[in-house]
Amino acid sequence: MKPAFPESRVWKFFCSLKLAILLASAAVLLSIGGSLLMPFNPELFGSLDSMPLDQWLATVAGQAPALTWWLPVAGGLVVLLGLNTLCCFIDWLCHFRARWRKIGESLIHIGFVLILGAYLWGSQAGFRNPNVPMLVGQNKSLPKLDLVLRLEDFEPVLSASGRPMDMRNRLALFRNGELLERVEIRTNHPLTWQGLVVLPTSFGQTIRAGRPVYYSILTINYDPGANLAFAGSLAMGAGVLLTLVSFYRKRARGDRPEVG
Amino acid sequence: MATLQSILIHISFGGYLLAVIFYLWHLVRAQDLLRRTAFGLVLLAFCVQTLCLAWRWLVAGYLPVTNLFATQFFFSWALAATYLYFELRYRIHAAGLFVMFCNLLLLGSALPRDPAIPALIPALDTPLFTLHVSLSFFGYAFFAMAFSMGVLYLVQKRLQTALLPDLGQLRKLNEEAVFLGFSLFTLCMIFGSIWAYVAWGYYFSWNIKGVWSALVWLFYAGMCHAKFVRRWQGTGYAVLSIAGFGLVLFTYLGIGLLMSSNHPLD
Repeated sequence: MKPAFPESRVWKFFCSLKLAILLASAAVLLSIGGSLLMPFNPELFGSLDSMPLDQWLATVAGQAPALTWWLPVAGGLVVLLGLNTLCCFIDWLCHFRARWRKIGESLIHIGFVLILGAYLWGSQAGFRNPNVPMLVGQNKSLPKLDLVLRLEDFEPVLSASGRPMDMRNRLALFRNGELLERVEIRTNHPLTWQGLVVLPTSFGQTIRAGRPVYYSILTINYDPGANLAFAGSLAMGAGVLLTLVSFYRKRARGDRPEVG
Repeated sequence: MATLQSILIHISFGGYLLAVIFYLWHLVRAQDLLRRTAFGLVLLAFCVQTLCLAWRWLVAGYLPVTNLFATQFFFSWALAATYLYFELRYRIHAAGLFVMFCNLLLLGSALPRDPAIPALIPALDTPLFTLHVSLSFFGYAFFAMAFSMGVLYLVQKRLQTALLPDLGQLRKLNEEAVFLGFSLFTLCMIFGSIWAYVAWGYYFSWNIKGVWSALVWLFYAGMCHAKFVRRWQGTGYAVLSIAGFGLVLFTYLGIGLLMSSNHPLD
């Protein structure tokens, strides 16, 4: 008689430690070789941070497949590693009574899966606008989110020598004319709204009505997976702390790692 | 004040240098007095370095780890702290010599550099930066210790000498160093990702530094699993520890100094 789901040989293979090591090793080795191409081909890889990964794969990677093929392949290996990790987590849940002490390791596993899933979601459904110039009083429509962003005030913070130190922007976010949020943003203090993130990038000067006025340059990104990634990082951080406690308790008892 | 700082840095360097000499002497003539003197010198140098770091932090108003001198100084302090952790916990004595050599190299090459603390740019003015950088260097320090244990494991396997801990102990120390390094590096990556999100609007950067940091994390994550596989225990694990530290060195120094990245060192 065939063993039931959590004990079947196929399931054990998908959960296996050796499969995880194999996939991680292959992804690391491939990425070591591939990533060394990145600094020497900035025209290809330099735009990776200014657009979601899916858009980059569809528009830029195809221009030089011989130089970029490693990235989707390594990504595929990491996704398989994520699936392997998810299977491992499900297996842990199926054996919770016997393995509850491994809660720290399992939180790290599910944290990794959540972060990976969030990144894939954001790569597929997000957008990035790295340099959006805006004058005070100007509106920026974000049709994909049915939102309107208005720059209500802008003030560059300069040092005594005139060196730019910071950028203060007062922003208002509207949907159908209704105010959703009004915040002052500056470096490291962005506006965040359900995956939307708006932060100051730079500023410049232009002439309006015969006098110089400052304009702000904003980064407007949307990543629907951002909150999920944050949840994943919380799970992973908690998992690390629990695992550290568990490690010292095991060492105090003189436990050694079991042989696989 | 700059003179006092320079004096403190030179005292700690001198202390570490003498400690290494005494440890080497202890390897030749196994006398308890030599070992105790070496340990006392490490402790003294570490206390002086801690004082200097605390003073620099107080004067700057932030943890000064924003240029090559400051990162070398902090990394050297983290290496000494890691050595002391293993020495106090396991009495590793001269088995941690490699870490102390790394420490000397880092601090020695930092000595000719200007120790002045630069003004903090607004993007770095966040506790996330402090947590990210300090955890990263502590992670690196434990990976350096794992490298040291890996090399010594291979040496001990060949020489079977009484001067070094036995193979079982070296394996245990190696696993602990990798586990602690991985834990701290994971927290470093989490804080770094959150900071990247609020500073740049995305939590993973495809900059070469971001990619290699992810590779270092993935490599050591694999190592944390490999210790459960019989084939990778002992010699295999020692070889992996050596290879892993190669990745760490390239990520910290190779990329920081030779390539254009979003983590410039100078």
